[in-house]
Formats: sequence, structure tokens, C-alpha cells
Amino acid sequence: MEQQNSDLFSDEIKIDETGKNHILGLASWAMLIVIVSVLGYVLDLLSSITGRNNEAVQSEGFGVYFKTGGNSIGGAILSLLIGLLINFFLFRFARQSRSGITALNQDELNRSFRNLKIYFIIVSILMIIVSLIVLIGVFAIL
Amino acid sequence: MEPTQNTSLFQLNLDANNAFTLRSAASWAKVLAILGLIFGIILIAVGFLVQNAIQNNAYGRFEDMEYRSNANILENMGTAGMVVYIFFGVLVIIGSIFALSFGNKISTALRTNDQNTLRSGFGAVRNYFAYWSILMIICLLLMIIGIAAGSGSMGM
Repeated sequence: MEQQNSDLFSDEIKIDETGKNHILGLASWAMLIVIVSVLGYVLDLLSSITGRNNEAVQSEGFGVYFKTGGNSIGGAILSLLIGLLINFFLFRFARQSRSGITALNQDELNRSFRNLKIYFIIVSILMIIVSLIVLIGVFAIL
Repeated sequence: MEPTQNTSLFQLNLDANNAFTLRSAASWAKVLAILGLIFGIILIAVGFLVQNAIQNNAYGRFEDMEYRSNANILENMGTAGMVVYIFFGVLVIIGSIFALSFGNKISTALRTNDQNTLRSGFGAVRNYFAYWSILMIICLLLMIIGIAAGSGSMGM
């Protein structure tokens, strides 16, 4: 059986101890983002369902109704779905990179980087959509 | 017989497949960073535009001295809005700088096989996630305070 050892003398770039520590720290922060985001979505959904913030307040003198915070249930569900999609890949990245580093598992680390790439792709596409909406809004005001 | 690849016993490498995935992640991070920079600049510009529009409208709408206080309130609201827009624009720009740093450093490291640059690339993406985590924790706390204040005022 032919065996190829790519460890000692190959020109592949290696992930040293500092790099591993950075990746472990990165995985921890990514997991924290997932937890905080999911908590935020749940709170947003709960506050939309209870409808406590969704009151219309009339400001004296202007005769204009201002909505104070709060958003519709539909908006909360939409943001929950999009958020869960993004955070699913971030969660997988955090979990796989941690296990890849601790168990020295190359395949797991490969899969974690693939999830990081998908995360950046989805966030970039969302950023393009949001920027376009803001630009359209600005042109509408002008 | 199929050749088997023993990647590493005691350390992890960035093999061709891994390097390709990491390079495309870095490219998308650069795209995100550039979009973020543009978005941040748009937010700051919108802040100035809105403040300018409100200022121009305020005194036109309330020409009477009797309603001048309303114009002042509108102007103050415009200024507050501008500060909020600029604040969020700056936050987005700072986050984008971290993402850009990650994208540039990882691309350079993989091109030149430079260990130090790879390390600092991973450090940059760690800082990117740390930055957004802290901001999100602050937002979550503000949200909880808002909900608590809202339910407190409802109970009164």
C-alpha cells in the first residue's frame, strides 16, 4: 500500500499551537454569537406575540402617529427563520472546528471551514439585499 | 491498491482542499467587508441627509413664532437621528475592517505559505466574531431592559 505522509517535509502550511488557539477562541466566540442570537430571536418573537411594544402613540402637536419599537409577528418569524439559517452554519463551524482541533481531525476541520464559507456567503447576500433596500429608500426620499 | 493519505499524526495541515475552502471563505469575507464598508458609509450619508431634510422642513413648516418650539423639537430629533445613524455606520465599518483583515491575511498566507500571516488571519477572524458577540450581548441586554421597562409601565 502506498502511503503518503504529508506531515514532516511537505510544503503544506501547518496550523501551529498559536493558530489552534486562535481557532479555538474563534469557535468560542462564534458559539457565543449563536447563543445570543437565538436568545434575541426568541425574545423578539415573544415581544411580538405579547404585543406589548406594539402600541401607537400620538405625539402632541404634530398629529402624527409614531410606532414605538415592536414589530409584527410576521417580521419576527421572518427574522427568526433567516437568523436560524445563518446561525445554523455558524454553529456547525464552531462545533466542528473545536472537535477538529481537539481531536486533530483534518476532515472535521475541512468541514468547519466549508461552513464558515457558507456563513460568509449568506451574510454577504443578505448585506447586498439590505444595502439595495436602503439605497432604494434613500432615492425615494430624495 | 488505493493510496492512503496519512495527513498528520501530531499536527494539522492546510491541505489543498482545505486551503481552497479557506481561500474562498476569505474571498467571501472580503466581499462582506467591502459591502459592509459601503453600507456603513451609506448609513452615515443617510444620517446627514435626514438631518438636513428635517432641518430644512422644520422652519419652513413652522414659520409662525408661536410654533417655533415645534421646529426646535423636530430639529433636535433630526440631530439625534443623525447621531444614531453615524454611530451605527461607524460600528458596521469597524466590523468590516476586521473581516477585510481576515480576508487579506488568509489570502496572503495561503499564497505565500506564510505561517505568521495565517496565524494573524485566524486572529483577525477571531476578533471579528468577538467584536460582533460583544455588540450583540449589549443589544440583547438593551432589549431585555426595554421589555422589562415596557412590562413595568404596562403594570402601572
